[in-house]
Amino acid sequence: MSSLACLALTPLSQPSKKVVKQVQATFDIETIDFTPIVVDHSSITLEENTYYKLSVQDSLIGYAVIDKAPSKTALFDYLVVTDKELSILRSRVITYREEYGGAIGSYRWLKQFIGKKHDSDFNDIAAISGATISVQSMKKAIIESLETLQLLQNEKIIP
Amino acid sequence: MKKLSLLALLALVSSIGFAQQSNPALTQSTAQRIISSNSGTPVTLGGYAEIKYNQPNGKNGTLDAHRVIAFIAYRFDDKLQFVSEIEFEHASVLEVEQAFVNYNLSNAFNLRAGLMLVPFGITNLYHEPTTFNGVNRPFLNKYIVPSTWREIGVGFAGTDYATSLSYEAYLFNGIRSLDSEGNGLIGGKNGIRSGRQSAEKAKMDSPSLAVKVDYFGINGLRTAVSGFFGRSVADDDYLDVTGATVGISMIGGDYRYVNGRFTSRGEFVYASLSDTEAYNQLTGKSLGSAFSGGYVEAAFNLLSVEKKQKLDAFVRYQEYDTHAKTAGNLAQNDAYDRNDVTMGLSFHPTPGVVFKGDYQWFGDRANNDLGNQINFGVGVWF
Repeated sequence: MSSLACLALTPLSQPSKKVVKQVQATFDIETIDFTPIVVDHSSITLEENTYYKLSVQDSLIGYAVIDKAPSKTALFDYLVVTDKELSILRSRVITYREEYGGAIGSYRWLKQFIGKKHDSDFNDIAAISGATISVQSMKKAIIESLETLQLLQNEKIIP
Repeated sequence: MKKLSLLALLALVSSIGFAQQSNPALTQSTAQRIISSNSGTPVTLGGYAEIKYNQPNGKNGTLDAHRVIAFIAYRFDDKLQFVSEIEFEHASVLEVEQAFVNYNLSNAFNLRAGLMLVPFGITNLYHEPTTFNGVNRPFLNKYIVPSTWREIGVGFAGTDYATSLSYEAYLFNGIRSLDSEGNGLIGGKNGIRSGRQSAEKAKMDSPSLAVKVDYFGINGLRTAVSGFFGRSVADDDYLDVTGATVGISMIGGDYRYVNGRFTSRGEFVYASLSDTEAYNQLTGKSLGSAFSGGYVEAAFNLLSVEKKQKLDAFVRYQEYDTHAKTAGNLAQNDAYDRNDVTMGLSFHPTPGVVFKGDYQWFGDRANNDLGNQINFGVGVWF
């Protein structure tokens, strides 16, 4: 058991203020601890400080993924917050870096992802005129984030 | 206990191995995605091109490398970016279409300065050939909104995700109404098109204001309002001459809608010009005191939405009138009240490449025989 704990043990690294604010608002709790999930094994590679366990006074409340995905010519930063059962509570575009496609940051559009899990149907996500590439990219990024969390859970790297 | 944990570790290792085999998609990490595109580097290279064949009924056809453009951007850091577009028109004329610095203070405030597109309507901003149907841009965006309309200016752009609103607001050098010899540049048929200065030693007396606000809070729908307000400029020698300049107030609305295989869009513009009577007296031109126009387009993708390829069948009806009103004794010229119907196909074998074919019927209120035209084109955007 201790070795498993070791695998998931972590140096402390906190996400940006913007991200923290969004996560706090998701749960309506101000004192949330972010613990980066580290997988020390060659067959699963997680970028440093992209996957986080969220807890309040040592009790797990969910997970956050903070990662980058490509828009047409640049990368945007996105956030996915899930509950303990890995279903989406909130998703956000944190930084968008080009002219086209910024509409994927719309809270109204991102609402469609709430409640989705890794095996949900994502074909009902509405398209956005002038943001086709970014819409596909955001969908793919969110699905991959959920699949990765699911894999981590299957492998008992996260509870 | 030790033995147990070792077993657990072994089990974990082997199961991770299995998991990886069963789900190879997961091994494509973000880093690989970054490396596999050029989006991780500070330099972005891109471009677009549209090559056309226009064949009017009973006349010679025209084959034209209308636009070939190189897009070069450099990201100094997360806040500062330089964006430029260098354009070859008709395979020879070299022009700079955009060259501006974007200073990202926050999502809601980006300071922009340089040569920028005037934010008006859809087509002037989204003019890459894969983003619109039809070989030619809608003529509303030639005669009323003088696309590709770009000037030098400064202002702000931003997006607020909570309200699903974005905006652009700039002060630009405006339209030029007289050339250095005192000849009128703007007029009856082509409106303000020839008054664009396009950053070629542009003159300015007072700046013009251009504002666009976009709302994208309804899924599938994107709507916007645009405005352009200012006074034209003439050479210093003519500044005090009555009729040398005119006032221009232009407002527009547009929408784009997508639902599965169905898409639709439209643009509507009304422009009001002041002091056109004096301008026409001075120059002998027939500039209208109001322009109006609009189009509505509907398209249906004949292929399934799951496919990478797209085959849009579309139809568009548009009207554009540069003599919606005239001032003084100038009679409205019905030949400037034009319309067309365009029907055709856009085949996208992959996003970023399009083969186009369409047929256009032209008309005007004077019932002139303007003929029909068949067009073919190929476009790319990368």
